[in-house]
Amino acid sequence: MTETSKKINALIVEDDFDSLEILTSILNSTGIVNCETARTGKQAIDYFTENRPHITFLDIDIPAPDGIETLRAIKKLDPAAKVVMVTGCSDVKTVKTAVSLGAFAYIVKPYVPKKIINVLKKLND
Amino acid sequence: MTKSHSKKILVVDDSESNRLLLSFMLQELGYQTDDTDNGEKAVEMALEFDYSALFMDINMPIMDGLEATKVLRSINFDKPIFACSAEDEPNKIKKFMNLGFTGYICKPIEAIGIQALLEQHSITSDEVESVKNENYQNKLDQLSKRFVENIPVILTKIDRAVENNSIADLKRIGHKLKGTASQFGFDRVAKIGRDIETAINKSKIPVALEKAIFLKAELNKIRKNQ
Repeated sequence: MTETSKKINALIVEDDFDSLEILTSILNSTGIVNCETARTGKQAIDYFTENRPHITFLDIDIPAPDGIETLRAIKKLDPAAKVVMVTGCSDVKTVKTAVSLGAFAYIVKPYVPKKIINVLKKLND
Repeated sequence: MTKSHSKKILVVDDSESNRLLLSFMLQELGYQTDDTDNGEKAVEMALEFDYSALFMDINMPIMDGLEATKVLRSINFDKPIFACSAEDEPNKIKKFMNLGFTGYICKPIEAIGIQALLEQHSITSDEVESVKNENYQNKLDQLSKRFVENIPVILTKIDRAVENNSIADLKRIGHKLKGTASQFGFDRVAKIGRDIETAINKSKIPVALEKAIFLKAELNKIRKNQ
């Protein structure tokens, strides 16, 4: 698929290089996603303010502000924003906080390609 | 009965006898099972592992089946969740379905009913095939190789964290390995990483330090085998 036919703009917010590479690779393998990356909560919020990506994959354990605070800020900018929390942490307290802030999905690492792709499919539901 | 499925199903019920019975029936039908006794653990396990379906009791302590299902559906968890309850009032069953349950099975549960329910909802129909993309696989192989090459650095970080009694650093190492090691097939490293993080979260520092020794041994084993 050519660059011009790609139609989903995704922001990946992740400070761990390996995780970033894996997620980018999965999203690129679909052929329909343009990926941009941010390493900190601040970079993510700045990028979101300027570009309004269709979907944001947001790690929780990132340099300030953390993923939960970044989710809060993004939803304040755009309540309809689709933000997928990606994390190694599945504890219910964090999940419930993400739900209460309006997270679109919650994916626990390690990344399984079909989970990521299912989330992309949900974008059009 | 055939035992050809490789799919795993999570059974959630606070009654041990119900859990054992339902798990046994599912195993007899050829499914693998895990089980837990409350909704909170069910949410965590459902997000962490790749189950084909969940069987969820309604009335449970800590978090009941309704709330657990509501939480999972709020974050677009799309695997089938079947409610299990002794409730037989149509209005209440309708309420379960409106909350996001995929189907309902009335207690006492019988194997034939479970089989019918699973077949009716053909639990794999909405799943997409795993990505078999060559570039993705190559990238994974490449990163896996780099992970192994990086093991001496990880070992040094563990030593430094232990020597300096820096529990926050040790927790960070455990957390990172929990997330990435199993991606490369090093499940044991990921599990020890998770154990370290959990122990530190529960202030069980001696346990975390002991696990750090196991972690080093496991990392050394991987390095030698490559």
